[in-house]
Amino acid sequence: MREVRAPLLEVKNLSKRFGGVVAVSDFSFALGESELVGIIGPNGAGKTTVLNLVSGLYRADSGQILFAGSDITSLQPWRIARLGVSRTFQNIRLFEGLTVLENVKVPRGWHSRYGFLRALGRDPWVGREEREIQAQAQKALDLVGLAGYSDALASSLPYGLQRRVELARALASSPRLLLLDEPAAGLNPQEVRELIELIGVIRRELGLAIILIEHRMEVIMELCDWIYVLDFGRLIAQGTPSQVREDPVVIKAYLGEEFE
Amino acid sequence: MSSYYMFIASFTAITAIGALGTFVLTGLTGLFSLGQAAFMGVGAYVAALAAVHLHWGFAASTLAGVAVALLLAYPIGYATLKLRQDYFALATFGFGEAIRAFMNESVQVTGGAMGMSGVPKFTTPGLTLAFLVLAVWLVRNLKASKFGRDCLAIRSDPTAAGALGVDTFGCRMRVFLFAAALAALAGALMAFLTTYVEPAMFGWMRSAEWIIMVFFGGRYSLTGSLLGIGLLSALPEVLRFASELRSGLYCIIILLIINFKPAGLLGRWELSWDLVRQRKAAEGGRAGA
Repeated sequence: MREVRAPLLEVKNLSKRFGGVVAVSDFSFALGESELVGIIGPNGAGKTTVLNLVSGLYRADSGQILFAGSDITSLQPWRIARLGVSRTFQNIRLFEGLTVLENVKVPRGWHSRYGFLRALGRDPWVGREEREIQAQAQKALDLVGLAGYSDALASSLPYGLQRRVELARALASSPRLLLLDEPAAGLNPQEVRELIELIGVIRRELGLAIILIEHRMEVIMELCDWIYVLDFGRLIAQGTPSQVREDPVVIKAYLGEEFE
Repeated sequence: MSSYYMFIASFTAITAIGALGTFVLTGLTGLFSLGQAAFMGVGAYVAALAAVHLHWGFAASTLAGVAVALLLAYPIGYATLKLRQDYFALATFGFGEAIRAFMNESVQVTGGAMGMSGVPKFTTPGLTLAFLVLAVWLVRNLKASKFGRDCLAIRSDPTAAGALGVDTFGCRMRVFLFAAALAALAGALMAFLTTYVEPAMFGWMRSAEWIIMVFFGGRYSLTGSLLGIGLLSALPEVLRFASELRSGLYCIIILLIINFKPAGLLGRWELSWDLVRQRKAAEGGRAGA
């Protein structure tokens, strides 16, 4: 166990069931400002469900989610996002029909205050705010190393680069908490190395908190400050990477699956 | 130009104003509304009634038409915009046909199926053109703004858009109201052009035609949509197709587009001042070299 002082995110006794299946059961965890926490577990352990609950895509059956002191348990996803929680998806979900730059601009749009009627009339200030959105989106693309791909259609890029676009899109809104749902899925070993370095750079440069779900253990072990282990929706262990690695409970849960 | 061609041109411009709403609503945002023509009908009837019975001028009657359409669109949007896409199409079809049935049945006010004649002829070709230019400008601005990107994001993946902070319902509602306002404006212009309105003009077939025009020209491209609207609404008139042939023509076009050019004739391509300037600069560079 550990105590997080002044937590950025605090999840208390979270439960979610789908029909008869209990996906998450009485799960509590917390993370502090600019901390990187991993959630691991065998397939079907409820990891993605936890992220979907935090970002508001699912409604919790019971429990409470506090972000930066305010209760976000029953807020709509877009309101949670605007409080400073951003995310990526397990299966990349870029906006088809938009360029790379336009994809990254979308979550920056709500930072500028102009409304629908002003957009229709396009007064000079709208142009100025659009340039600011563009600059911020470009900055996010630079950070993930995609500066040269702005005008390509996002869906036309190779898989590994699409992952980076998704990361840039999640960062463009300047979140305080970033949820990464298996960012290494489908990447080759070389790309996984680059991803680990990139997440390290993002942490250093932006100082945001990250929750990471991942099957590739090297990503988890290298990056996480603290790890929560789920099995059948329940918390079965937690600790630093070296503690979790040695934990017999964790090894037993993973028996039959790869775990180094 | 003969007055016949002037009439066709005005007619096409009016169709374009209404169909531009469909470009934003269906092309960009992915909402298939089969009730757009009903909003056109509301605009036409309210404007015509205000002009005939209250002797209001063009501006006041047209504004009244647009305002009433907006008042109707808000509750309809509220009831339908949270539905799944297929149900949204069905629900707007239902609302649209209900509005048309109301026009048909309230004989005392609207003249029923016989229609309403004696509407003053306020619409001139210059006026329609001016409104078309205004509508194109508004839609261009919208597409180039954050709302334009939000629309495309919502069409592509509403869940992801919401998780990234896009107010999907709010954006859909704004776009729905905007499209209803354009349709109502087109309706008022139509009433003041033909000096006659009847419920049969505002059935779901017209809404479907607008969608076909937009998809034919390019659902993501304002330039393409205008091209599609121009081709599909002016050509049959000029070539004097029988209306049965017209439906057949639409069927063939839909099949061809779906199979060979799913993004429409122009896809995402957009005519812009930047493009013209680049072209000029390139030519200038070549001339200098």
